[in-house]
Amino acid sequence: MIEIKHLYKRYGRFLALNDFNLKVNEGELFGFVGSNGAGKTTTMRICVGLLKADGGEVLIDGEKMLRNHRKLAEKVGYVPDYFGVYKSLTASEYLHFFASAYGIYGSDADRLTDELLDLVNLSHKKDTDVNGLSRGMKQRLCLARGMVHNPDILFLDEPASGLDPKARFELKEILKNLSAMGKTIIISSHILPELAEMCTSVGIIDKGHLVLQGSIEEIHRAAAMSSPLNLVVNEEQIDDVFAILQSNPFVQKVTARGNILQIVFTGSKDDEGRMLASLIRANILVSSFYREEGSLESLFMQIVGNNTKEAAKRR
Amino acid sequence: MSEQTKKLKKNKRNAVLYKEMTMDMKRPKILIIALLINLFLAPIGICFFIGIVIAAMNGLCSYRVLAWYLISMVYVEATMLLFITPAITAGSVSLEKERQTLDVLLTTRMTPWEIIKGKYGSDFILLSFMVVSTFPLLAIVFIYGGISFIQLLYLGLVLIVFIGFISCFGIFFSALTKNTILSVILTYLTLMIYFAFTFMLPIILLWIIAGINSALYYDNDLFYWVTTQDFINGDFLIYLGTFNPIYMIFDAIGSTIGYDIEDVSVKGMTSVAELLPHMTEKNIILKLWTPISMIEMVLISLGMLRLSAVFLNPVKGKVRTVKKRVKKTNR
Repeated sequence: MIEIKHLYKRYGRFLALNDFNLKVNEGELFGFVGSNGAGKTTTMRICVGLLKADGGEVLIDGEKMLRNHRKLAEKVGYVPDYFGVYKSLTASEYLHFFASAYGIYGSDADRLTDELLDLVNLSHKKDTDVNGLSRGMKQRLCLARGMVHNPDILFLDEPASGLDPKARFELKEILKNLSAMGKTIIISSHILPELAEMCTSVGIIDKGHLVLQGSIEEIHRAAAMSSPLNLVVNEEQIDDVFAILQSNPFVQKVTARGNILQIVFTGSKDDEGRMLASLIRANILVSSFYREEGSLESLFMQIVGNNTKEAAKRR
Repeated sequence: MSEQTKKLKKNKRNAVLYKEMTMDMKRPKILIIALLINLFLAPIGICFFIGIVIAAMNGLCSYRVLAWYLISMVYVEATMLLFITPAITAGSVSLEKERQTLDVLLTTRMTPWEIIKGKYGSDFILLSFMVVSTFPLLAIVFIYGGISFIQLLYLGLVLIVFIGFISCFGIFFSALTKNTILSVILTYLTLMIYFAFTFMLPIILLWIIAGINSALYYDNDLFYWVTTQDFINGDFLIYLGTFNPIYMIFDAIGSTIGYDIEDVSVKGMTSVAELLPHMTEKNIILKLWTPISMIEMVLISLGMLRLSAVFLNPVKGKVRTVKKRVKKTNR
């Protein structure tokens, strides 16, 4: 189990991580979602020992890790959002090199290399120069490299970015296999639906703060509530409707297409009812009032949007 | 995956060194550089050889001609190594940064010090190979003899310490900067300044002391050099020269082969004692100038490599507790 407690990181005046807390249980495939600059990579780099935190602690199985490089290196594997491969080595030599960086040599390293290449479906490319591998293959090779010391926890920073659908599918399958092997996998992306397909739980980070965390079922339930409300009214009353909606604290955004209004609404079911009642009291002719099927994308946008609004208010 | 890999053993060999050597062996880099050095040195050897043959035919050949051949070869080789070494070493770590492979390396069980050792080791082996590859050209002197194999090995050792010393400047700036071009520029610039500074410093200081002596005791030329023992003793300042590789090579050649120009014989730094009134040729530091210089350079190299490892460490220093400060700023 990995636990991140009160993590802070500042780059000059920019606060990248602000009291960041996270707990991921053993064997979970955890999706770490956030927009660009939200703090995903910073968190991961601190957790793998590539960046110094300004405050806070990372605990693995209850043990403090930030000041223990060797132990941390043995416990975690890291696959960054770039390949970082040596072009003049073959796939097998590449894995042998990293195996020796963990003190695995000779026949042990040979066996391990074969197993890993098999795991990522690259056995047939064993003697091919890394330079000659496709983008998807390089990514899989990097994944194998991250697994070379058989870590308990694997951090993957946007592993699917730039991959074609086939390569993405293959990557997902490998990750599912790894998860089935009991590995804790933390995978970052800025696309929530992409992670929802393979993760068992998801956390949303925004402005260096974890704003939502839950199992994938909980996230789907939240998403169902996050889709916009559709309101069909008499076209001549549009201005009046806008005025009423704008006075409602739960209305984030209203867009109109003819007489159909799309409302991003953050309130509960009761609040929805109250809003409808206020429209009817104002003699608005409502011919239709319904919520579209929820999507993870809209949930993400709503959460990030809310935060932006709150930050603007604070300023 | 094999469960036995779960119990990781202690690193027996340096993975970076092994990887660099594997990659070097695949590239023609080593052979090309060795070929270029030897192609540059070979014409000098041929010229000397032809000169010696012609002189011998006229009954003029002497041992000293071959001694001067060896002297000139060592100086030319040292100058070439001075320019080649930074070009090879200044990109070692920065290229890893540019290729974005360093981060991955730093997440392994290898410490920054082990990475630096591997990088330095591979460059050092490559450059030592360059030095060794020129030995056949230097060995031409054995045709006439007068110089022992041990003396030749000693000069080789001095050159190897010399490249080891220059290499660590390249590694240092390579670890310090993210850009290879910047690292190369800084390495050459720093080496130039270091060589000039440590070469000139003892001379300038001795000149100043001589000037003071001259002004105090003589109504003479301000830069009158040779003074008597009654004057202020600044002769020990010559020891600062032990930090300079040029003096080291000068002494190494002088103490093994010697610089004979007609009747004048210069035997390395011990001969400098003639210019220093408070010193004699028996001065132990002057006598052991090259070994002392070599030890100093090895120590400086180790210090610079250690410092490079510190710069390479992404989590150097203590974790500060800034929780309160951060909260305050947010408010």
